Amino acid sequence: MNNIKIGWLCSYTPEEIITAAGLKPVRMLGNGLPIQDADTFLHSNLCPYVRNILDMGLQGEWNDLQGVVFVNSCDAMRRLSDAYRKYVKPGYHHLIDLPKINDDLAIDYFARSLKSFASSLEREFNVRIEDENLLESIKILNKTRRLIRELYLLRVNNDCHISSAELFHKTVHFLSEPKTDSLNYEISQFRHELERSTVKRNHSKLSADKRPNILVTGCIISQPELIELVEEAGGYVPVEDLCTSLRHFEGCVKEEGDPYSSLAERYLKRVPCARMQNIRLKLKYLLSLIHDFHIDGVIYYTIKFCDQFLYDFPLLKIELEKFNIPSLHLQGDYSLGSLGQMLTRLAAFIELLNERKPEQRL
Amino acid sequence: MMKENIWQYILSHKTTRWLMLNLYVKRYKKRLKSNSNPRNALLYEVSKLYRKYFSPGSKVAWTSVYAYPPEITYSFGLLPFDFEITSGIIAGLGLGSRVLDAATDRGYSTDTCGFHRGGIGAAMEGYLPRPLIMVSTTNFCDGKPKVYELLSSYYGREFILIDVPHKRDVSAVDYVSRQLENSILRIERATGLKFNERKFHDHISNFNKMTGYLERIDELKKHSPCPFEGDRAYRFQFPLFLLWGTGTSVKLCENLYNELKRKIDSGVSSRENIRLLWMGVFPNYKTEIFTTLRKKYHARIVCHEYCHMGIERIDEDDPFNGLARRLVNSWLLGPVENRIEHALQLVKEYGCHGVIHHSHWGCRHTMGGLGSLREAFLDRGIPFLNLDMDGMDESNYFPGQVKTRIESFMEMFQ
Repeated sequence: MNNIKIGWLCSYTPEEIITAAGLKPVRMLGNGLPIQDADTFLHSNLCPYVRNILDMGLQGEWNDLQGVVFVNSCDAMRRLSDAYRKYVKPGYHHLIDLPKINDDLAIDYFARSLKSFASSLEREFNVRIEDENLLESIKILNKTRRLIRELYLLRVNNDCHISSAELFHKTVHFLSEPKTDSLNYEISQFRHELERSTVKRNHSKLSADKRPNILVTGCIISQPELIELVEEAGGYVPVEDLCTSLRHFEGCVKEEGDPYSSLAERYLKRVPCARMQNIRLKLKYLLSLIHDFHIDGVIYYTIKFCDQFLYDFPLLKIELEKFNIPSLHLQGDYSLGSLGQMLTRLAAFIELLNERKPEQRL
Repeated sequence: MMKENIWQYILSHKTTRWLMLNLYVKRYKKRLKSNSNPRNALLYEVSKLYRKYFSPGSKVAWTSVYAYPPEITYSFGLLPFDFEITSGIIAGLGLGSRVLDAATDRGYSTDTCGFHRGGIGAAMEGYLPRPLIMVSTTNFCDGKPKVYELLSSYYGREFILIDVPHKRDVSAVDYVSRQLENSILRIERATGLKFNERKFHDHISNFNKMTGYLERIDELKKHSPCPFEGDRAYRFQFPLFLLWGTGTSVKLCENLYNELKRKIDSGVSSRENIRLLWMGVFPNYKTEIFTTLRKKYHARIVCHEYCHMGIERIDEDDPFNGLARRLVNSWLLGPVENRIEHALQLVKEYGCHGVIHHSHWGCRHTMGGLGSLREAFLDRGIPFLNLDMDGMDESNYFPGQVKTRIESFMEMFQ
């Protein structure tokens, strides 16, 4: 792997292809600082994550990237792709066309989009992406996915010596780094370390430490502050369903056949983000997490103007109520400043969970 | 409030709604008799369509008529119903805040598009016809397919989503064309209705004839003073989407063309100092914007970017490919440069002196490109005004502020 860094933003970016080209994929996460220059180019009613990324680009914070790969994830991301290309001028720019559906036609079309992405990398960086290199990358990323899932599974019945926030922070670190054998080794070592220090948790009634288990789901969270806040308010977060945590790693790519078709199938059939058409599958996945991780309540987190996630919440809330799972919608602006105001609501929610009788729980 | 309550009562009860629709049909028929202009003819046709939606035994397909081809929907004998257009009509009746509140009360965020939220609210208040099936596409924004998915769950009906890529190439056209063909089988399976191929070819042929008239109408609109300006052209062409592919749409456009031609031939007398291009939706409630522009400054909106949506002839020997091409070729898809290029071409062709862009609250795909749009016009010395408003929610319209901004903008032309 050479030292050419390629930035990526959306969880639907096939890191495998960048890795197979011998380039370093780097996840671009915002710093949550107030927007300074981006509002000149993007409307202030647009996703704050997207505006934060552009702002950082305008301030030269992405200068070490030789290119950026965008995905046609949402209206805001498409407009970021335009503005970034025009005003930040990365050396290489590519937008992957991601379908919203996942039937055979869509998989076939997406496989061709991925091939065209690979060809553009080959042209731009004068490299060759052989099928065998791609298969090798697929194997490495599949291993990362399995290891991360194991990390989360450790928390099903155990307390770890580190907090949920620390574990989330670590997951974001693993997610952001280029996927290599050495990263997988680092994750394995971390997993062993955690395994040695876990303590059995009691889920028969309230947890041993009286903290209710909370699932944090929703759109992008890059910093662990929200998780810290949940813990500060008296909750325990054994799992998050976010594009910066477990959801990103769910589902492996088939390690045989045409690699582009296998990649297309995995990305279109993985646990869906709200931008995909499949709210029923999303709900099914949430219910499986609720069951597996003994969840008492769900926090649905959105950042302002993230329409796709905003539209899903009312229906998910109704469906969760059918299973007697209370939920709370929190909205932030991707800045650290917005979190403080949430503490009171979080504390009230956790108090509600604590007051529920054990038989009221799932 | 009193008026709003009466409307609420009328729309949410079957009998009163039916009586109201009959009254509207009669009213527009009478109006058409006394003044047979194309606008009255369109209102009469659309009022009849809305009455049909609620007629016993009617077969309604919820669809985005500017996206999923009505030529296909009509070929099943299905009536295409568009919740976004209906949201606009509801706002025009003064019930916008009622349906928006209905959605907000059910947890739908006020940050999202009012037309979409209005559709949810109206559906849940029982104002809208029940669908037999729902079909839409991914263009142009994220909110629309999302609302379809949610409401398909609410109504318990199948939703077919056609995925339209953001690239304009042969593979994208082929991908969409195959999805459109597949949608025929899926609609047949879900509704038990048969697709009538002969009718389909007639509808395609009608669309081409209508397009021929619309192209000629566009030529007439380039005349100064413009014979069909302001919100009138927009309010004609938007409801017209509901009738695409029908013989009625051809007749309406033919009559409009003849009327505009007569108007020009007889010499349009009104004064026109400034010609403007409008981008983004028009507000669907009463505003003073157009009368101020027209009367105070003799400024005319001679062109609206949305009036040019999908006006592309279909190859009658390969209709699915042609329909796919119509979807894929939209300038609202792909990079913002596509939209800029199209707008600059309109400015040139229509001899516009300036541009007004409406950033409709919640419309990320249009407001998202604002910076680049502004820059493109100003770089070429074309005055550009952005209005942050809401096409649906009147409570987000501040007449004083908008008036001041328009006045300052108009000063640039003095």
